[in-house]
Amino acid sequence: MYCSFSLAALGQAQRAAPDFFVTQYAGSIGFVSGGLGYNIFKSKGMVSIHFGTVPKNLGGPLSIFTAKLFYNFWEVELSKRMTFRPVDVGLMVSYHTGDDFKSNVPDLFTSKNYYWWYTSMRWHLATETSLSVHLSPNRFFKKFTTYIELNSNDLYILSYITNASSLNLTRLIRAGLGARFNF
Amino acid sequence: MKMRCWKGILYLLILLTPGCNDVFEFSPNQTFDGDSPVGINARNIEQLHNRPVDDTITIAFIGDSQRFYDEAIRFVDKVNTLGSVDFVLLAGDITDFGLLEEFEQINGIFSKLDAPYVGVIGNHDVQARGEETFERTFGALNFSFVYDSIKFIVHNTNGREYPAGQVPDLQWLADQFTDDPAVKNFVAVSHVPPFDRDFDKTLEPAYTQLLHDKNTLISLHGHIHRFKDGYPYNDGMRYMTSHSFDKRAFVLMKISNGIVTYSIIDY
Repeated sequence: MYCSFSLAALGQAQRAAPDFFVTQYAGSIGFVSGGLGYNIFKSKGMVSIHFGTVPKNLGGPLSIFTAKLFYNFWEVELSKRMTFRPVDVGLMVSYHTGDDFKSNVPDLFTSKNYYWWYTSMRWHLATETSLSVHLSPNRFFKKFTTYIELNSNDLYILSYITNASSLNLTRLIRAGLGARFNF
Repeated sequence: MKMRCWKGILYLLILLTPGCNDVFEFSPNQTFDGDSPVGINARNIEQLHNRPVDDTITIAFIGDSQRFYDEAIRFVDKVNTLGSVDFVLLAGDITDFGLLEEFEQINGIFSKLDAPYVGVIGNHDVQARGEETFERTFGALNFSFVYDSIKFIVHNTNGREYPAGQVPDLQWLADQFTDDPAVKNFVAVSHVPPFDRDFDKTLEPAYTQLLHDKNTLISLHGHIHRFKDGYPYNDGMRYMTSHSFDKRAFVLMKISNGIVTYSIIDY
């Protein structure tokens, strides 16, 4: 009975365990960042949590937590073991920690917040273009993916929308490069 | 296959070279990147000192560029048609959100001015990591410079963003009123005027007294997004605020022999 209980617990743990580990360079969520995530919607979707840092000598120090949700509409099979996803679309929310970043807790003496936006939280629209290699099912990592991710955040987008005639659309867009390892 | 591999690596290396740093953003709140400007005010003031001096200083005085990029371009074009402007004073709220990208965008637009410009820190510029970003891109939050016998004392008055009693730095301010034979008049420049609710009210009496006692010629501000000129404390001390960019107007100020005159220019 104890045996079956542990096996059941192990089964539970396996189901709860993340589906992938990801590491990323740049992409507005840190100089480097790492994260864990799950495949959802029959592997059409991915949800993940990341932690990234920017060291002082590169414009920080900053610590950033990010949640990502991506969906795949189109996948191309390049060969038996290689797939290409031209453009997955995603939504991200990033959270900067530290005293400089506020979530606009209401001022005690006025009921309204002075500034209308949160300095701690940014919403991002993103796309991901990726190339995956499917490895042998016996290996620890079943799939290896490299990707380039483009994003823009709510404040950049707002600035562009209200100044479309003078701001360059390309200035809105930021990029990151990453690698994902599926367990 | 091998050739394709090497080509791919080459493209990646090109992407990662410093010139492309802007695209690979580490955070919207980073205080600098590979090609962000440094020391804008110092460089522009040096440029100002190299310009010919006559008996009149002509200043295009405006505040609060924030997110008004379209209007900023029009402002620059208009000022460039005037020809006689010695320098441009941007009286704070250079950005809306205190982000590096915004400082860079505004500087990019203002770099097209024929005359040099001086930027003052505003309360919006202090948000998130804006204060550090301003310090690196523009320079010190409090600084002075002398041009044509006038000492411009540019300082931080964004009291709302700090604990009470710290900003403005009254000790620093008092030290600026030096006995210098090269200086005939003082002009104070800051973002938040002392009569505004966002000024540190615990410091208002001492601050306004100091400006008055040192015979400051005039105190220039932004923040309230509209033009105002007068003597709010009825003590002979003149305060002037300028328009925000969305008002599509600015103050063309002339200072000659200790007398300030102005006209409002639309654009």
